[in-house]
Amino acid sequence: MLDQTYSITRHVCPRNCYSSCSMLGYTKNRRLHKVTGDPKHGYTKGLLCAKGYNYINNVYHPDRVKYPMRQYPRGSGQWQRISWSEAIDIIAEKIIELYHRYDSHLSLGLNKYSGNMGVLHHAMEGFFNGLGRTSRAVGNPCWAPGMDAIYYDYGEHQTSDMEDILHAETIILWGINPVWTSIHAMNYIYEAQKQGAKVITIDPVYTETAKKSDTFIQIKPGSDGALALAVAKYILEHNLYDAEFLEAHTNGWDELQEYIQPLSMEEALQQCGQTIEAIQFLAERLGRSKPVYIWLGFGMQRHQNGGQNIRAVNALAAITGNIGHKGSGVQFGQRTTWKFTYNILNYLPTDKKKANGVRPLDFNNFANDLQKQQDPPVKFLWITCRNLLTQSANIQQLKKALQSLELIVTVEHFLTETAQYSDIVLPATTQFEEWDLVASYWHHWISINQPAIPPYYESKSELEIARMLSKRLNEYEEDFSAFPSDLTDEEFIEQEFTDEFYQSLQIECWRELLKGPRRVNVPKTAWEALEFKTPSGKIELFSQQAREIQLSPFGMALLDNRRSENYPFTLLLNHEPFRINSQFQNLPSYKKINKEPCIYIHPSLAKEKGIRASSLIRVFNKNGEIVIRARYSEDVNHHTLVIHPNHPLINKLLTFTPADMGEFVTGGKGNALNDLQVNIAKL
Amino acid sequence: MIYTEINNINQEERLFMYQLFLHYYRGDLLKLPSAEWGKLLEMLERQHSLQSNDWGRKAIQQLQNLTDQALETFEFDFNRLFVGPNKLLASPFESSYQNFEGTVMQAETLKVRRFYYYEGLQVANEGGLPDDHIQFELEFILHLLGSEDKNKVLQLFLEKHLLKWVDQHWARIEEHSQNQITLAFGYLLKGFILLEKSLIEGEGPLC
Ligand code: SF4
Repeated sequence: MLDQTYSITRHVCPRNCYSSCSMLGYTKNRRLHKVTGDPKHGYTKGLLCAKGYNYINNVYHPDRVKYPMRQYPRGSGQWQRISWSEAIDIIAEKIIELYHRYDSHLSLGLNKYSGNMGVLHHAMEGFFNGLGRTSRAVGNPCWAPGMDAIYYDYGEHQTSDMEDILHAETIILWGINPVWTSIHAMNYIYEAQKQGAKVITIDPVYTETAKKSDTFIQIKPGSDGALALAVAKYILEHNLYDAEFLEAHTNGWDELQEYIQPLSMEEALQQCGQTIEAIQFLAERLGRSKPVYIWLGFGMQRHQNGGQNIRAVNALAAITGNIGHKGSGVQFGQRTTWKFTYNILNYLPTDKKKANGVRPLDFNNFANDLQKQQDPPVKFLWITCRNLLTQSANIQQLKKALQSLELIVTVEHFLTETAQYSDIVLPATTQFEEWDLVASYWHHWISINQPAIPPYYESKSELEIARMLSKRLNEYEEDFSAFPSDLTDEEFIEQEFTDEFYQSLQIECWRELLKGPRRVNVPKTAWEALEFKTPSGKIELFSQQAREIQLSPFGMALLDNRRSENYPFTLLLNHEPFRINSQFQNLPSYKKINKEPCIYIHPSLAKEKGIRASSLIRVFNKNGEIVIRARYSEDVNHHTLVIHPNHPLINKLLTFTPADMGEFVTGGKGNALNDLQVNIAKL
Repeated sequence: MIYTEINNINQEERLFMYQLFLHYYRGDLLKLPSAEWGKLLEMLERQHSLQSNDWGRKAIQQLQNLTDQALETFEFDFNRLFVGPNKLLASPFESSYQNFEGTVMQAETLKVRRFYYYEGLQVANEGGLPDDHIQFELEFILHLLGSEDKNKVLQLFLEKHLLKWVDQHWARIEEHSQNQITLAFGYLLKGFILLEKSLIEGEGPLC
């Protein structure tokens, strides 16, 4: 009989996105009928973005991987369907064989990233930890420099509740385009605007957000630190700083003053491409129209001076006393609500002879490290939540490095470029077919994810796969793997909570999350107590910690003049609203929106180069060359080009250019993806 | 009278052909030992009505000239077309052709499911597998063919479902097939569907 009532289940969008939306799934007759936002979520308030509303087309995509599949030879496209038990056998046998060959597990590599941010999606890391010491991609391509910068200055990563913005007089959206990438924030920003706050957008591109702001300052890419320096100089010269705040809550103000005084204002202006009037405007807003709420995007730290850029803005906020008060602060990303136990990672081998831990392979320089680490070499690679071959630099080198591997396993929903280059692809469940827990790096809500529908075809959750593998290994050899194969999903969830965490969520049992997401009880305003976990206990305008690892102790600096004559244009890789990196690429209606890759170019530059609108052009640098369609746009300036990186084309131009920071918090330097200098020519 | 005679012959052939397609789409033939292909060919050669159109003849011709290489690569091509993990080149789901987004398990799939329910049938592991996979549609047709009083339902199901999309499906097979067997089965399907259509258009009883 056809059932006429829906069952409603709670889900979380696990993508690498500010919102981490809680969602409701409506299921009837074992079929997910629709997906809506969850009105009980205090930040997203029942709304999703276009991607979220489109999940049905993702879950029920005809091209989803349906069975475990094996390909021989690798890359040939000759796929054979295998059973789960065959797949697990092949993998387990390889793990054991390699262990006996090398007398360690270092030849096993894991490369996992943010394709799914759920806690239970740490299962494979947990499984690898349970074997002993293995090789692992370590680092972060996204926010590494910024996280270090925040750490040096404040000692911890906090954000304010978005409601806090309603107390702001001035809102500075610095290198962030929430209209496209963080849609839920816009309601708060509009509300603040209605209440009289002035919104200033600082960005190299005249974004959709800039268009909705009261003021737009078009900055040269990567010159955020120079702009901050110019403003700081102006503030200093015009006594707009908050002496009382500086005295009470910062460390190194005297040194910073001394340091910036002799630096040239003219040079700073020239570097960031601003007039003194713009500087005056910003300085006065910061000094006189307080509180000032500053939101820093991720793009501005993907530069060789990326961490410095963030530290420069941090300093600017501190100098003007815009930290810790309602409606103020520098918002970047937070980790204070991630209070899970991460027990899932901690099933270590009981055999004391087995070493624990990881041999790191730099996430952003993975190809290089794969080739470099030869004792023993990596022979087995597990790829999950990651499209390695479209989201990496140095693709040719990477492909070459992968050739020496004996087994590559990818867990996926679709046959990505990476899966195409694997020996085995395993079908993964979506968030509508599994349990999970998700926190956000932006807001303070925790949501649970429960299954709504049976797994599509033979897909399985990561956790299930990890359990199966562990069980099989232990059948071969007792105690080979310490990852528990007998705990249920729900037991794993239970273990992620402590009494303290329950208390801060004001619940007694995780099952209460099934009634709605909960806010973690952290301060509504970041740094409200004005206590900082830095060595000095204050905001560090001068950071000895930074100095100790050969960085400038100050955040502010002029740029080295590194614009090359051969490649005079900066190519920025900005996100667009319908995709997240390589995800959501294969939805037919989205494909219609962006039919083909294009590059945005200012008409004046196009004219100079004889490039006609919508014609194909060459974009090249020392790493390679691409041919791409040019679109005129007055939203970029003469020297800036923009590509929305929703296709792997761009990788031909990219290599690993280390950013200044990232090692401290994420284990590896960020990649200065936005320092991409190129030249162009008509075809 | 004459009509019924022809139809009776057809009836057996239809049963055979539907069964054959069910085995094919379920992947059973992937495991067929090479020696058995000869036997299958002989059986096909005995299907007279199949020989009556170009497509059937072309299919048989393909199978008569099967190479070892074709047998070796059959599975890979079958997967490329119908299973994945790549983008399916000739999707076996009705919704891929009928749904605006090509998404499965939508209204189009539910309509198929309702037919099954009406007959008291349900796909095993319902919800995990789209009900409108050609394999299930074929199984359903076979079920109807097996009972004498299901004529109307069968005709309705064919008209509303299988015959609505199978031409597009077959066109994709023809476009993307890189293997003698998958191509032969494409021709077979095309030829057989032509016969089915003329049967329906000839408005005679279907069972
Ligand atoms: S992509 Fe972001 S905004 Fe969209 S539904 Fe997912 S979490 Fe929400």
